[in-house]
Amino acid sequence: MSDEKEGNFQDYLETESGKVTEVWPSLSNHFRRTSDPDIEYNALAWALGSNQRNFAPEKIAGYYWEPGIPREPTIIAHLQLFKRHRYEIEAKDGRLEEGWEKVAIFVNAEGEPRHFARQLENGNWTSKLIDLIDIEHDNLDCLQGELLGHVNCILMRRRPLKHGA
Amino acid sequence: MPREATCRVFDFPKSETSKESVYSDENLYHMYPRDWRTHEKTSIRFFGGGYPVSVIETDSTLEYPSGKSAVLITYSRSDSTADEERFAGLVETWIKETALEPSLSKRSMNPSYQRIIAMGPKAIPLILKEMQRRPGHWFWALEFLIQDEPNPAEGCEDLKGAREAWLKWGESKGYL
Repeated sequence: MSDEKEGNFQDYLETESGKVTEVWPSLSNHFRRTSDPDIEYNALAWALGSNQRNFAPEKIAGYYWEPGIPREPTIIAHLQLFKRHRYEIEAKDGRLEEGWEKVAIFVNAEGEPRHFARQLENGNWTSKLIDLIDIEHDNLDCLQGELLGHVNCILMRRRPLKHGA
Repeated sequence: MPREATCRVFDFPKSETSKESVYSDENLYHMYPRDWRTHEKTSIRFFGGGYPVSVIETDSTLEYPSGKSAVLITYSRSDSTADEERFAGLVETWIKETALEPSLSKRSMNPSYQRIIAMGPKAIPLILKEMQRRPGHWFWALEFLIQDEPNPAEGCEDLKGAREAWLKWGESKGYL
């Protein structure tokens, strides 16, 4: 393999990361980049607060899936997974509610979960874009489309009490 | 022991698997750094388009009327080199086609990825070397390719750990 091809995966991801507004035009002026590209974790892991694991229902060593949750790319299996993480209540919408942390599940036309976003305390959302970067975005609409699907449901759980609160 | 020389062949077309070239004195001077006129057997390493190619024949010396000498060299892209090149092309295509695909299954069912799996066991060292250079979603292919062998990454719940387990396994098997 030539030197040109060696070690350029990170550069490639970096380039792709620089083009996120081409992929998601609605992101323009509505997002802030918050990380470097990294394939060690994915959108589902990031929505659950981890940047160490890559969640996937496929039974392949290296990828993580919660024990006891059906290994299938369905909304039902993912709802069970989020329930395991205390996201048990379905929210009416994505508006900020004091004391609650929300996650949004995006699904495609076939009903397969494609993306996950987590709401921050300031009301904005944080997303890991596939193998690319993490971003903070101010709404969910800007990521909706053919690639990542549309928001199917928003779940919420109580935010942990802050120390001293 | 044959002496060694290196020659870079820039015009080796990707579509060709073998090629003949006549090298005249000037080129020979570079290929046979010392005493080339003694016709000692010299091992020449060729690189075509950045990839090594193997030399089939080097000792057919031609004499031109002008008195200059030349040597007819037939060289071919070795099988392993062709595999490496094919693999590299499939990898680049696969990355471009699936970099924006979140589903592991869909990434793995991509035609380029499936063609890499279809290369069979000879793809294993190529994948491991690729994984050594840069992280990637290769465990699906590796698990398929080792067939009944124990999975060295069994029990790993993160990509970094699995990658390390596979590379260690590759070293123990002599793939790396």
